[in-house]
Amino acid sequence: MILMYHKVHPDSPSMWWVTVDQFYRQLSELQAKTVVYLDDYDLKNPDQVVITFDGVYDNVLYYAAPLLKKFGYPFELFITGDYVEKNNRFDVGEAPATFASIQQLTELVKLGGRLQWHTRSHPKLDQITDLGMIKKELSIPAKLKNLDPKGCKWLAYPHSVFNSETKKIAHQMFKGSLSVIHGSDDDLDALNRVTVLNDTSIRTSSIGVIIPSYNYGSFLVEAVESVLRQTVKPTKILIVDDASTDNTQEIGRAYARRYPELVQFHRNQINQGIIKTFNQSVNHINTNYVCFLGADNRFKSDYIEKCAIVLDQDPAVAIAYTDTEVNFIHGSSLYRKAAFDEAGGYIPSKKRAEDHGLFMRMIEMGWTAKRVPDLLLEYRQHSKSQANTVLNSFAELNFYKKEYYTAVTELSKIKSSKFWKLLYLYKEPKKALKHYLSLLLTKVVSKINHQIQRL
Amino acid sequence: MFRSALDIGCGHGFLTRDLPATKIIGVDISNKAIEQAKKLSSTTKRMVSYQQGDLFSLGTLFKADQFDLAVITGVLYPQYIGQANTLAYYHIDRVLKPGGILVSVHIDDWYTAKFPYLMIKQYFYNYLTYMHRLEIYTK
Repeated sequence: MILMYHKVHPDSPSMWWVTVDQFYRQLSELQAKTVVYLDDYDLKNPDQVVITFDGVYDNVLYYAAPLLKKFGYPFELFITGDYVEKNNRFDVGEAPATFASIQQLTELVKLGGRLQWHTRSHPKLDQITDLGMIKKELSIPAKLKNLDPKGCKWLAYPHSVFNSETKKIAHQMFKGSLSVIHGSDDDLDALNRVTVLNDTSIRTSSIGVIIPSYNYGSFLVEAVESVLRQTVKPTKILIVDDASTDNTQEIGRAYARRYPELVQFHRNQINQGIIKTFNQSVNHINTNYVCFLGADNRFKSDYIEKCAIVLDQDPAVAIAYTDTEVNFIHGSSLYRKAAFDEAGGYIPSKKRAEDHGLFMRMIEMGWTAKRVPDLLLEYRQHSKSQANTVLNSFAELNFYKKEYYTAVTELSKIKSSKFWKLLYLYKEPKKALKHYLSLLLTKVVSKINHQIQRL
Repeated sequence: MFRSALDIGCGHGFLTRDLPATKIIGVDISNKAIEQAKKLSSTTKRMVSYQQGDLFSLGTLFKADQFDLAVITGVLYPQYIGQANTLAYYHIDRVLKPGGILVSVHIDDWYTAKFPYLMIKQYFYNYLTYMHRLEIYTK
């Protein structure tokens, strides 16, 4: 798979801009693959990935390169010769961006980038009939070629287009060429690439986090926030209220409202107890990977990033468990739904903890467990410690503050709508007339005043 | 007492000057704020210096593992840094020594970050009409 990026930036004004956080997630997912240079790319190996940038824009140096370095990935930079150090004003409708300078390209090469060619002026090569012109477009000026002695062997067709003539010339001048959609996966002279967008995912497995709460409402806000603030977010979050008598329901429903794509809320009408709730929830959320977070605990913000990759990397591993005070497979491990199904889920037991029983059965069936060498859970003590209770009350208070402001905004929107005004006129004509007439009069008077002043 | 501290988003340096470290550096995106901070700190006997720079240029400003205390106040808001929390974590992680301490203070309503470190303490308190979230992490 060859990935194509253009711009990486904190903001995403169009589809060609991938945000830094989404870029980070994509890089994190790539840990299950092998990222290589085009020179080392084996067309027949589905585990290999090449990262390419077209342009090349200076935001690649500021925002993408540090993260590529963090993950230790090589990357390819397809430069359009005439654009170096210029801006993208010709690109009508696109937000302004600047192309990297010679100095910046040199820095990118130092960080592991390899310079490749995207023609001199970015023309549609299939529309040029003069072969000399094509050859000129494909030739790389020495000044740029000297920046990277290991590069300048690969070509990316501008606008992804080419014809048999261009392909023939490209074949003579380059080791291989890249298209986007007009090529194929096995034609070295026109390899296809994947246009990476914000929501592009390399991971095919979905990840679910279940937060069960039975009267833990006062801790719930912080637990949910610790999942929402993950460096790599889950696909789904399910908040399960096991018929609590506290505010669990209120908080759960509010989060489902705020994040309709991400958060689901389910309430048991009658208290089911842990085992039934756990089994039901895993089947309800139905993601490939699943984990539980006790409503009174919090994830460290790289919990999902670190655990999911362990399951991605080895299909035989069913459980990714993190460090706690002691080394054991605990209830907040991330595990495979397939293994859960095979082991028959949680089974009530008086002898040992039910999650431990589930994981033991998985292992007896031939699945393995792998330790993630990091403390990724923050256990919180409660009831004993007054300070913690105060903290949670503050988090809770702020949650309600946000809810209040949302409600106030909604209300003012409704009150300024035509429907509301008409309804008011209909229900209480005297009051409404008095109210609106005075408003209207003030408006008219101020307009007249304004006119007089202008005169 | 820490050996070296970095104050990210130091503004006029009202916090920077009093950080418990032998050597202190403050950075802020605003040149004017840095000038002001320098003036206000001219009488202090401690080793305080200021540099202009934004969060994402920490990589060019400082060497790796340079500080054992990092403080970041009022910086990590989407209106300032867009969707780039993960890059902020990277840059701060690079300059913070292993075992170092990170203090983050932000208005809770706008703050969507959580550092991938172990949080050892957390406080909420009122600030103007907002609520501040103060977090202390250990690397």
